[in-house]
Amino acid sequence: MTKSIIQNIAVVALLTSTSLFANQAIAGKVELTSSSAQEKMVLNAEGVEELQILPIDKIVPGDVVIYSNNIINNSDKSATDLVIVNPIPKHMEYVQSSLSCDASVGCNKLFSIDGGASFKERNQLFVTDNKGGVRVAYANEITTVKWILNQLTVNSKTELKFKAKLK
Amino acid sequence: MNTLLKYFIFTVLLFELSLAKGAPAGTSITNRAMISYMSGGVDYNGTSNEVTDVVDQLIDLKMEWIDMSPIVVERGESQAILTFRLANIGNGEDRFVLTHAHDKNSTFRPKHSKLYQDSNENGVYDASDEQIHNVKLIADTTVTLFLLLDVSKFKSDKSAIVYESLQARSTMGGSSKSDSGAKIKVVKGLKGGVDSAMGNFKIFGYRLNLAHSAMVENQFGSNEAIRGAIVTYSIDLSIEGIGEIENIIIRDAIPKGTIYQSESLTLDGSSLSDGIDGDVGSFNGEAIKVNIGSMKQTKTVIPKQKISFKVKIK
Repeated sequence: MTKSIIQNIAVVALLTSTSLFANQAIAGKVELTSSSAQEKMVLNAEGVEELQILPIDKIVPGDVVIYSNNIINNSDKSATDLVIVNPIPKHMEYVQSSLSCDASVGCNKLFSIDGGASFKERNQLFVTDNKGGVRVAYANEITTVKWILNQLTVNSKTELKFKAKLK
Repeated sequence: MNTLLKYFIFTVLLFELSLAKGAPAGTSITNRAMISYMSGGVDYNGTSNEVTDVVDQLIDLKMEWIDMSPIVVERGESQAILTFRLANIGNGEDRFVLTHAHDKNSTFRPKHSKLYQDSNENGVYDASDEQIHNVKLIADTTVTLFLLLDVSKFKSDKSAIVYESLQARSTMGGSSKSDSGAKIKVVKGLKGGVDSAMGNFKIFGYRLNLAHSAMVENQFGSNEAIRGAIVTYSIDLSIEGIGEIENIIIRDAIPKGTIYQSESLTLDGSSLSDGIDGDVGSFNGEAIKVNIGSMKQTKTVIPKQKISFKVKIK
């Protein structure tokens, strides 16, 4: 009796723990790591100025930050239908045409102007101006960006990026 | 300058500067992404780490000379006032050292200068304004400054033009602290933390003098001002200093208790008609009017004009 109860409890416990993990990215499986950097003109070893991506040293209004989301599939299964959503940080504004992903993996790029409630392709993102006319949204009206990836195979990684300017 | 116009300009400039806000120094900028995916038939979702960057302080300022119309100082006045506006267009608090310099292109050098802050923010210099040498401004704020220059020693007969500049320099070092006490770096904008503006004013070396006189002659041959006596009023025009004064129009009201004597108006002894016609004089029932035009004085030409008219004592 006791043994069966213990077994039943163990099964329940296992089910419970699985259900907890069912809606979470499992650590060590598909990992999402965010980082920030900035572009700077730096003198290289030959004394020539070149554009480099460096850790953020100083950031003041008008500066552009490069945000990167690195995804690694450390699991033993392919990950499919990956959706990564990144709100544009407060005090920042999206830089036009800066949303990118690795060409080898490919992605669908979508944008939102309503805080992520809805997403559309960039040239389908319309707003109504104060005169009742309709126009394509400006870059600084974008609130959220989204990448959709079909698949990330086992032990592969990819990098997603966008730029934002500090207001 | 007209005080109301100064108030209007003050309000417009304040509104324009209030639109130029940047993220305040010390602000934390945080970024976090979310992910969802499917693996092995199971749905997963989660978030990234949070990335935080702190906004550093940008040093930037703008100094402007804001007198909208030419500043003219009459000979004999003791001071000239030039009005400037300093704006902190950076994203953090700053203290600016203020320095005044006399420009060598000036034709007169004021003796002393003092700088005042518009303490009561009324757009005009008055006794309640505080004398300063530096000023602290939080981001996106302005201060109006009055540069007072002592011109009491101006003696020349010629006009002079004076150029004076006012410079502001940031006192921020290489680092600062945010409101939360976090250390933030200081970055100087394109102006390097310094800006200046040049103002100017003109001192007139000449002015129009009017000398009034009256001569009484009564019916008994004396100069007693009795009823029926005729009074001849004269106005002598002359220029003090070197220069030309244009558009001179002289008006003089007939004194109460007297009756203007028709056709008595003269200019340099020549009769002027009372009506509005081809000559330069007229009488409208209350006052005489003579359009002198221009008078120009040089070192060799000394113009003088004399207007006279008669009234009878009632």
